[in-house]
Amino acid sequence: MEILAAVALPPRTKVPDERDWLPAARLGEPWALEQFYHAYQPQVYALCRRLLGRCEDAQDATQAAFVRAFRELARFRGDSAVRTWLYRIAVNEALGMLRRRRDALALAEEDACAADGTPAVVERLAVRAALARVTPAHRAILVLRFWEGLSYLEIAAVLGISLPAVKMRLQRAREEFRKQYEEQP
Amino acid sequence: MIHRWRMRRTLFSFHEGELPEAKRAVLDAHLEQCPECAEARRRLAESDRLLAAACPETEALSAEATGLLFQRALAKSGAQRRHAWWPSLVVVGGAVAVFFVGVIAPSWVPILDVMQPGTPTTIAQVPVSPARARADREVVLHRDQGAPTAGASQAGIAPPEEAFRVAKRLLAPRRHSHGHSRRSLVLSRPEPSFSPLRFGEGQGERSRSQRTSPPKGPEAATLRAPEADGGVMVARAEAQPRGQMFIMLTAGQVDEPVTVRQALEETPGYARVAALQSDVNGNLVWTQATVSSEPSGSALVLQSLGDGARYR
Repeated sequence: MEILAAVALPPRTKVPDERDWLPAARLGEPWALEQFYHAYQPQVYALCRRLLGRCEDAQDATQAAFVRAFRELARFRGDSAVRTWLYRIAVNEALGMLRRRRDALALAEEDACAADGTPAVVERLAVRAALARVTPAHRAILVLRFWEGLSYLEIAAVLGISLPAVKMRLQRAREEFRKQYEEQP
Repeated sequence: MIHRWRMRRTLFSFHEGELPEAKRAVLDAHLEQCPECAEARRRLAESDRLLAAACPETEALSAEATGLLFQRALAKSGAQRRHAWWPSLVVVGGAVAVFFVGVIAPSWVPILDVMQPGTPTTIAQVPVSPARARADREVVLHRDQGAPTAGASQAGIAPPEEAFRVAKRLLAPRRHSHGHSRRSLVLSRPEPSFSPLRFGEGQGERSRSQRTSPPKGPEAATLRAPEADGGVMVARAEAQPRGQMFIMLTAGQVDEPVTVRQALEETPGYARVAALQSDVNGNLVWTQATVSSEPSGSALVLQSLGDGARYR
């Protein structure tokens, strides 16, 4: 037997269950890939935005992440959650961009404009500036831990390292961040 | 005395709440008499507070940017690449058909005067979300072994009558070569059977034995059009918990490439895919599925065609 033709119809509800579209997405059905994209694009974009700073870079990284995800979804076996798997792809794409980029991370546009001088704002800007100067690997683990709120286990899965390695890297990342923060003029 | 490097690890564990109770008491005692370690602990806690407080608000992408990003990602991923060769196949197939009909077939075709498709009979109708009607018109046809196939695309528009004519021409040379060309035949399409069945999840690659004893699962409407060689063509609409899936399958042995499969039309409000099959005994099997946009919504319609089709 062979499939002669297949017309895949989308789910009826506005918030589809992952189980409804994931099998079809693995088969490369465009409507299911669209469901997959809409389910995770906001999270992936936010992650890339926090990792990369610039909006344009975040869009590029998001697109690259979904290109890879669409290609590799057929091989996704469900060993981890879809979000964890997708975060791993997105972090790798963003880290690649960070390593290729020579200049320090650009501060977000709102940072440049928010010069109202309140201590809280100045402190936030100083923290982000310090974070922009730590190594990409350390920035990634700090963002995942403090801005994305991932657990150690989730960070281990996303970064592809062991649990002790997560703790060690997080410790070193904190120290590097602290050093950069205190060395600021 | 606690070594400096070990102190860092202990402080980190303490900060993360992973230090056992006994060690915590030891650490507390040490911190009270060691200003350096107490300061390290304070800085650790402050770093975490600074980092957490500096989390930037990220703006959501606009709907336009979101859509554009998806289209680009889909195009670059190659997920639609498999569709790309269909338009060219349709064009080449059309040229071959025209050449066949106009040049080769006239000398072979015996008496092929009347061959009209019958009145379409609706077998199943499934409502479709109007917002997704355009996406619903995406039709995928898979290449068949040696048989002429076509994919749904805007370039692949061909009316059912044209499909019949192509089938007729393709059938004719073979009959001629077997010495039956001058015998009048009346071909009748076997009556399709339609029965609501329950299938498990999955799309279309079950064996025949699995289909005869379907497992429990979502509702499905199945069209079974028997073929003369004992095979069966199956068109199935599956009602998934939150969606539907229409699948057209073919099974059975067709020993010669006398099969025509057509994706027929795609217009802004309407898409149709159909399959016309013929075997050596002259049985024609034609099933069709359409997805159309209507004022009240959209609908997927499964139809049987070809009642009363004659070939003489």
